Amino acid sequence: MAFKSEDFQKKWMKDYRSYDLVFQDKLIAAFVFIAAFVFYALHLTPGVSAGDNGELTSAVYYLGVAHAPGYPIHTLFAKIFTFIPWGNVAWRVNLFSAFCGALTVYFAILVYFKIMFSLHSNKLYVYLSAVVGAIAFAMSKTLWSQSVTTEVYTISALFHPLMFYVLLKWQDKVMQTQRKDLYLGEKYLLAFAFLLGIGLGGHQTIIITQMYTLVFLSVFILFFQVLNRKNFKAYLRTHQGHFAFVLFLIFLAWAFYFYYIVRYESNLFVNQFSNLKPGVTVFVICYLLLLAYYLYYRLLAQKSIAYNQLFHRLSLLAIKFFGMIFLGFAIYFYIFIRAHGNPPLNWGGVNELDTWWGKLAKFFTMINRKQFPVNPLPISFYNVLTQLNLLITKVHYSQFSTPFFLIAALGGYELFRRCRLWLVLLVFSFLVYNFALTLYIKFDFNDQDLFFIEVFYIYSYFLISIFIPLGVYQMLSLSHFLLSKILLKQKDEQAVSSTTSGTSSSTSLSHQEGASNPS
Amino acid sequence: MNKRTIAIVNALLFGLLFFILTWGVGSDFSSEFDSFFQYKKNLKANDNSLNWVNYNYGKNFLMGMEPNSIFMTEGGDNQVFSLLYFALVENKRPDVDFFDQKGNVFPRLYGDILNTSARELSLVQDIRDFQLYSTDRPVYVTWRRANIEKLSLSYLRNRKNELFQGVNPQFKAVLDRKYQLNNLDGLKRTARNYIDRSIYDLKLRSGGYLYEQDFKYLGPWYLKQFGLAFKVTPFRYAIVDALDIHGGRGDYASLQETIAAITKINMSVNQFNLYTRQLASEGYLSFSENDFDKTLQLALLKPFDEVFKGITALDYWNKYKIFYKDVYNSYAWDFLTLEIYAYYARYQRSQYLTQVNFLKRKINFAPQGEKEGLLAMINEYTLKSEEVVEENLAFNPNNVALHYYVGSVNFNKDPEKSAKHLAKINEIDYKNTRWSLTAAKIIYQHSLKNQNENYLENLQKAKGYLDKLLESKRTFYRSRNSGGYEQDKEVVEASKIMAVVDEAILNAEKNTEFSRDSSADEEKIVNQIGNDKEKLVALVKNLESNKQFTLAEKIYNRLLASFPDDEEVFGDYVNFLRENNLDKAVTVLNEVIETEKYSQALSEDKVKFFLGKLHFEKAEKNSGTQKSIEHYEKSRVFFNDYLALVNEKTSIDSKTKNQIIISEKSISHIDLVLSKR
Repeated sequence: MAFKSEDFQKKWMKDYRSYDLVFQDKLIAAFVFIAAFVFYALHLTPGVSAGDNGELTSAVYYLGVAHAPGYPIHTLFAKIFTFIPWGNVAWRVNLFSAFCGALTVYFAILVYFKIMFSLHSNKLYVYLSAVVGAIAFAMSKTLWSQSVTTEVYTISALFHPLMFYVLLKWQDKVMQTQRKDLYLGEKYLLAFAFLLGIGLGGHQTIIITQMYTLVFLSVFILFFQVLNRKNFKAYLRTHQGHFAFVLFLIFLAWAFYFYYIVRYESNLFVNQFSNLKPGVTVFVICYLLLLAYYLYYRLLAQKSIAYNQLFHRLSLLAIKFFGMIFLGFAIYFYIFIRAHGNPPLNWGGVNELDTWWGKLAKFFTMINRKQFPVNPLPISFYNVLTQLNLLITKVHYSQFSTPFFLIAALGGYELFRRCRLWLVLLVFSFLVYNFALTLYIKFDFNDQDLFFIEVFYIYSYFLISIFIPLGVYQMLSLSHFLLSKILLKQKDEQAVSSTTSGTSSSTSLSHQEGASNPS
Repeated sequence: MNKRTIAIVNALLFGLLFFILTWGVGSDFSSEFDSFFQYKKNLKANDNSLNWVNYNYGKNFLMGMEPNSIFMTEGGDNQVFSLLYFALVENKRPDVDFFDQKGNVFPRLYGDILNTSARELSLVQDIRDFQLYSTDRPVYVTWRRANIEKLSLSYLRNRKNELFQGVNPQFKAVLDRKYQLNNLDGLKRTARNYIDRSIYDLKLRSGGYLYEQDFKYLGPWYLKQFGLAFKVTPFRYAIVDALDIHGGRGDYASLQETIAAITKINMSVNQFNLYTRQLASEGYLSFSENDFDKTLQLALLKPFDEVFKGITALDYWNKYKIFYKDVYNSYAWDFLTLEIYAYYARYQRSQYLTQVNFLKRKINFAPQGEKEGLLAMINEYTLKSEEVVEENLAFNPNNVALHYYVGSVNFNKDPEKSAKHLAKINEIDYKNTRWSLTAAKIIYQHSLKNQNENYLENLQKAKGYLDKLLESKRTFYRSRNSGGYEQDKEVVEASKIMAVVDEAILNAEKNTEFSRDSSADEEKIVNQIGNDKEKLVALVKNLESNKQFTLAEKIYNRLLASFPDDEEVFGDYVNFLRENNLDKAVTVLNEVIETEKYSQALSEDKVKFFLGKLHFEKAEKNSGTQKSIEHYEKSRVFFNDYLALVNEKTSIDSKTKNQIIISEKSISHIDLVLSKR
């Protein structure tokens, strides 16, 4: 039997329908942004606070280089806030954190709107539940604490919901668009890649955030662009070798990068840069080859691009994708440029050596945070189990008040009934992120370590917060049903029972009803 | 009513519900339901609107320095970054040069430390510090720099030789050229091998290095604390400090020991003679040579204690801005902010203790009239040194250093408290098990001494501490995938103590069971022995040595009932009570006074002396409370009575003499304590 996207969608994304945000949605989101900004500003640290604050503020003020890995986007964008004509400089830069925190909430509520409107139609209830979710997220412990002092985590945090939003838009397009050629939604993917690259200029844990993305992309491309075609095998017939070649080069480049540059035991300066040279050389050669491959098809053999061949399209897309990441990541050249301007705060001293290899060595020492020695726990079953236990009971539990966890669970159930695929993807993303980050950080079991690592899990808190509006909506539906029953009595009872037939009573406000009564 | 109205009503109702769910109800922030409301749950930790802590911390450092100083921080983020902010962004104190140990943010004083071997780095640090201390600028450090009392050219030369021992001669020649440590010029050349010219010249910005002819006055140094920082002070000023302690007069022989106590260095006669002339030219002292044996007699002209005129070291704490105690949520702020409070407490404590040590020496040389005042100051500062730490613990319940301080201060005074705080260290950090062992030892010893008061409870506490240690150790080895748990020294020792404690607990539990139905046992035993006094006394002694106190007491009661007039038995009983049950001893002795049942073994003066002593002990135990004052007062009455009774006696033996001395001393102590109140 042939595979049909409609069947798949009916089974796994039952109540889903695509939705583009309208002006009204963005206006409400803007109000929430302003409210969050004011809220954070009210609790803002009035001067220089403990931790990295003084150092980051000094870096911002002089456009210097902050501590490894340099955090160029924070330094560059926060500089704008130092021109505020009142308050001390530390307060002004703190306000930038509040701004980024509020922006994170803004993008988060856009994500809530997109998800909620894809499943529900009652505007009033969607707005109310999304705003409740946004408030819960804005007041979650870590996002709040990072928004009231100068740190790099809020500007990094805002990329999570933003990229998630881009991904949702991409998914809409991939599901809807049916052409003769494969549609991969490249515009959105490249925007996503660029955001990822520039987001690395904030905190680098963002790379782990995106580990699940590959699965997300594969699922939608496979089920909505490839498998649904009658002769889908024809779309996979050629260019497998090209794809393998591209993947191999990408793998080789990063293998050399990690083996020779990231992993080194001593420093990069020994033996005339004997580690650095092969690492950089192979990395650059690999990507030059990839670039050559891409340019060949773009410029010389444009006609021979097989637009309906998945593997060829993916080969070209992967190169473009990394190209956009590098373009975003180029923000790190800030370190090179500003270090040579000799600002008063010049962490890492990239300009101190005269040779290019020397500068590169210093540069990689910076961006790979080699200066901070870590003494992590080894990876073992016992350790990971204990760490995850601490993550749940201490770190995640402290984020929201107890009722919101229950509401989130209700939201999970709602998603299970209405759009199972999203539930799977969200839970998968949550698990992968927590596992991967925990395996990467390998934190110790004491409170001090927990205090330092809780900021890395903001994405995880955001994922939990997505379930809150869903749960709130569910509660609203239920009470709406009860209120109708009490107030409208017999007359409307029939109408209600007709809409809820076949589903449980609490789904009285599903699409069928919404469609019949557009508000 | 249509659907739209219902939706609006529903939304309003739910809006209210969620408003309550996020913001909470009531305004009491310590409510136990806080974690139920999102806003309240996270407000305390995140309301930073009054968080001036690090801002003030930086400012406090800035205001504590003389003009034109050099300031070196230990490298902690809070210190370095707040100073960086003030120095770079707000451009405060442009006269001061700041340095941090790592050179990440301030000029790299020690060169590129990431690319210098640890062996060489420590030598470079010594050389650079020596150079900095040798300038005529005041130098402050924020930590107790190790080996500062040893720094001298010969020390540097020795270190160099030690470090480069065994390298081949060719390389040695290179090193000799690199490290020229024969004179100041050589030192400068050495430093320039490491330090950027611009950074090097920075030090010379105002004033310069001391001239070659002052060379003999350079090094070693000692540290004097002024508030949050230590001033690096040339060795010669220790003479001024010592003179101050000695009441303004002294010579080499008398000052020598005090100088060594202040600085940890012995001063030679030659140094002393050299320094005193220099100090005299600086106006600190005058001296006359004793014609008789040509020794110097010194007289202090002005003390060397004040960095700023009229401000002593202790005054710094009044000058500082430390507001956090007044802020409603300051205890809930982040870990790094809390660290600053702990810093204040630790440095303030250190300041008070320095002052106490200073005064304790001074009191020996003070005229009789001033002694009492000094003694009061010593007591006050000792108390304050403990108070600042304990007060801070309320804000900082997870600070290891503070718990350590409280634990070590109360080591003898209050073993239970001491053990509690030391054991807390292990609870905070499972890797820091060392003090659990100490805590277990302390509480075990304490339980042996006070067998009647919470004996079993204390033993169980000791067992709890040891359990925690073993559990932490197991976690440690397990989490690191390594063996060695069995061989771990602490584990071995803890297991040994554990065995002893376990046995003691078993015995104690048996005893409690035993005493639970001891009335039957008692009957049984007494029936066996009958009312034979000698046998019963032997039994009771046996029970005492076996620590079966409950039963022993019962037998005593029976003995007293059978032989009410036997002074010997009664005396033994009182002694038994004194060792095991102070409260009961007091009641029994009070009864003796009321009923005037005095005897040879318990004469009136003895009873009164005992009671005085007992109340005194109780007062000391509860020091600081209202109860202790009552006990002090009672104790004074009994001692006075005792002294009055003894005065009537014609012949006094040596034992009584001792008791008189104890009574007099105790009374004077009580007077002092009560007058302070």
